[in-house]
Amino acid sequence: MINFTEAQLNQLYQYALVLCDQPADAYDLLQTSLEQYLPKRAQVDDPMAYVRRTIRNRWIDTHRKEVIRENYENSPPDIAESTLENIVIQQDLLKKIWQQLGSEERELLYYWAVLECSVTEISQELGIPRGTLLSRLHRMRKRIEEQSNPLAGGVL
Amino acid sequence: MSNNGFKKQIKEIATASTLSQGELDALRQTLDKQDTRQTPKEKIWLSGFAFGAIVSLILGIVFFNHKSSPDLAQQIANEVVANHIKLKPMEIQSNDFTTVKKYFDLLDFAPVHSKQFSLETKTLLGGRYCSIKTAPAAQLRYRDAQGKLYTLYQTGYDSSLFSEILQLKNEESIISRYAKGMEVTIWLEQGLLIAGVSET
Repeated sequence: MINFTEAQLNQLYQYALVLCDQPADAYDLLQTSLEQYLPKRAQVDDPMAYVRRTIRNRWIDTHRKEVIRENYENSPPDIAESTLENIVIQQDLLKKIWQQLGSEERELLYYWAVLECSVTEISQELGIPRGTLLSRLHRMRKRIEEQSNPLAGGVL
Repeated sequence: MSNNGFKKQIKEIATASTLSQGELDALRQTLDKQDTRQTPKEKIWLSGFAFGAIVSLILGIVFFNHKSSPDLAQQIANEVVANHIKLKPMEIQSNDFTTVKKYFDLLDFAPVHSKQFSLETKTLLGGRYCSIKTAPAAQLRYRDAQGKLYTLYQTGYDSSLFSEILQLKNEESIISRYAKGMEVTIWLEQGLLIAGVSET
């Protein structure tokens, strides 16, 4: 048996779910990615990172147009990396906003909050320029602020 | 709220969903099944052996001029067992047959309570759309008191697809086949072709 613990399988599933937003799609994505990993397992140093990348690549393959549009629609403004850390928001509201975020935004938050990666690490892991990530962070913070308190235009 | 609050909140949301026991079991089966795959070196040897075997088989067939007919029942058994092992998530989850039946309103037949499939000690868990030999089908999943899973596949009997199963001329006939160590029973009932598979 290939050694993936229950916690690891759940973590990979959660990552797939962050991208797909549909449990059935996430499960299918995880299963096909594991199947893709198995023949190459002998050459893989970090199975978790490999399967995560496979999940991402497979997901991008099926959503290529949307991903390209999202990556290039805005140029990066001048913002700080700590832009998310001082957001204060009620959990219920955040759950609603989470559903409205794009897959790539949820993915960025997942890497930041669950895998505890810095923007530089995320940039290396996902192969996305740091500036693009910072831009995405900036847009996301703005969106979260607007949706959490549309009248005041700021966070709670 | 502290600076760590937002990160913690995101973590809580992103990790809230987990795989069901059934899904975990299915993934483990996938990993187990694939774990027996060969290394590249073994593959070369086995490919050579397989090539030799295939050539011998072809020569054998040509020599004896024997034409074998495909066993459709076995093909169905292979297909339903592969689906059963995959244990894809159910699209409708309910213990109520009427509720589950209503979900399959896109099919051109209505799933039935099978008389051949004893419901004693079995609880309906739900179902999902699937297919048998390309014919749209309903997949119903049951669990018995011991936790054993049963999958029942029902599809409208299409003579152009299934007439090769000659034994199923009447509703009393039941065909039994084995695939991957599991027994599959196939029968006709109320105009439907039904295949049942259970864990061994």
